[in-house]
Amino acid sequence: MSKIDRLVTAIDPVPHAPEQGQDARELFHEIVATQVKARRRVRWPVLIPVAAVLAAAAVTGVAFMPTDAPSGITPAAALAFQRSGDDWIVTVKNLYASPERFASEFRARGFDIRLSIAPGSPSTVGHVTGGEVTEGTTRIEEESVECESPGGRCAVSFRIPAEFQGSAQIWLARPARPGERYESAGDVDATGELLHCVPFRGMTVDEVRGVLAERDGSIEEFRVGKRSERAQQVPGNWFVKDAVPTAPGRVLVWAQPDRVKFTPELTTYVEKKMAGCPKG
Amino acid sequence: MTHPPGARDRFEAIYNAHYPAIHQYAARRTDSPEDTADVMSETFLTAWRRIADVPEGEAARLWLYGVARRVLANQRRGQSRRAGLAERLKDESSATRLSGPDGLDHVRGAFDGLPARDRDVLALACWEGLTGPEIGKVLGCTATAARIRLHRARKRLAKALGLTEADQAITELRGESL
Repeated sequence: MSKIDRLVTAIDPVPHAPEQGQDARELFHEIVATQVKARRRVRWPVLIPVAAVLAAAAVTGVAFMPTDAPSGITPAAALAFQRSGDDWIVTVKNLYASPERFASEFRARGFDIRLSIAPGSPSTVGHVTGGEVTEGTTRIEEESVECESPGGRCAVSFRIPAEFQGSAQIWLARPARPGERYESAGDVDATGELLHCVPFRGMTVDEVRGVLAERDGSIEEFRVGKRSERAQQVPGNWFVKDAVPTAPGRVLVWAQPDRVKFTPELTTYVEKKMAGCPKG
Repeated sequence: MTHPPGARDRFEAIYNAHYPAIHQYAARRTDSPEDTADVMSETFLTAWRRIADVPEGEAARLWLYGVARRVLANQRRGQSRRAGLAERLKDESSATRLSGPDGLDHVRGAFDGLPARDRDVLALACWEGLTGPEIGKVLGCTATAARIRLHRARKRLAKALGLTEADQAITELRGESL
């Protein structure tokens, strides 16, 4: 076993299998009492290889027409497909299109891919925040990695192997609109975020409030204690342990009455975060 | 349609053989006993409905892991719709980070910070004790793809922990003395 494996094994949250008790027996009886219905087989109807679709399209004279080409009849496409070797580079043209719209444009290309785009904090905008490939052996890769613009004007795209025949669900982050809360959040001190270049860990709550105020931000709520309990307010002289963006201009703060202990790991982490920030 | 005779016995054998492992798998990846129970009932209900698809022998366990994994993904999807995802993740990770006097919080922190698919393969390898080909079966990918994913995940975790190949021996010592 490698060293890394040993460390992961050591943090197993449930190292011992449970006893198979009364609950297990009850569940068994509930399950076998369930009426079994005929199985539906609707998930994989017919997947036409993309190459075949293109060949057919060439015959009808519409091959390679960009999906976002001007058209008087159809609304502008939400996705643009561009071929790159064995892959498609798919770029999201309309971050606010509905999931149904994305699904139908993917379906038109023979893909069973669902795309959900939800508001994310600035450093996550344009990034894949989650994904689930339920079938198939190929991977979908994020392309829009350099996407730090807080305005979210970067192109959001990803790479899908043309032979991808599975089904996938992808979550992407888009900029939040006024009043929206983030569904995905980056580090609160990442580029574009409210506490970028602020060594806020170990500051007092009041100090962090001051920094946030300069940046038109505020603390939304606190989390305190070992169980991370919710608190609306804490004394201003408490210390900030961690924070996370929750909505534009808002952060959630972990605070404690004692000074924050800087482990060597935390110190290194903070140093890395502050590298490249103006000194002083 | 109903199951053929003998299906109930076969299901019972599968259920008894794999309940502890699947329960442990679910408990490792959920926050509450209620969520674990939900994953268990949905996973084994799927196995009952699709009893003809459940492979024989040890492969049944991998098949069940695969089902449980999809059930968990659906559960998380539902939860993230209900609560702010960021907050939930943060709460989870800070809860784990604070959880032990074992001196391994930095490992937990680094592990929690990995992309989900890295955590997925590392956990299957180290917690469930699966080999590359077995992980491939759970994830629905080839053994080679699983091995590559595992290799990359190990590298990323080592990097997150600030380890180079040469450092790893030292960490091993530290890890054991902690």
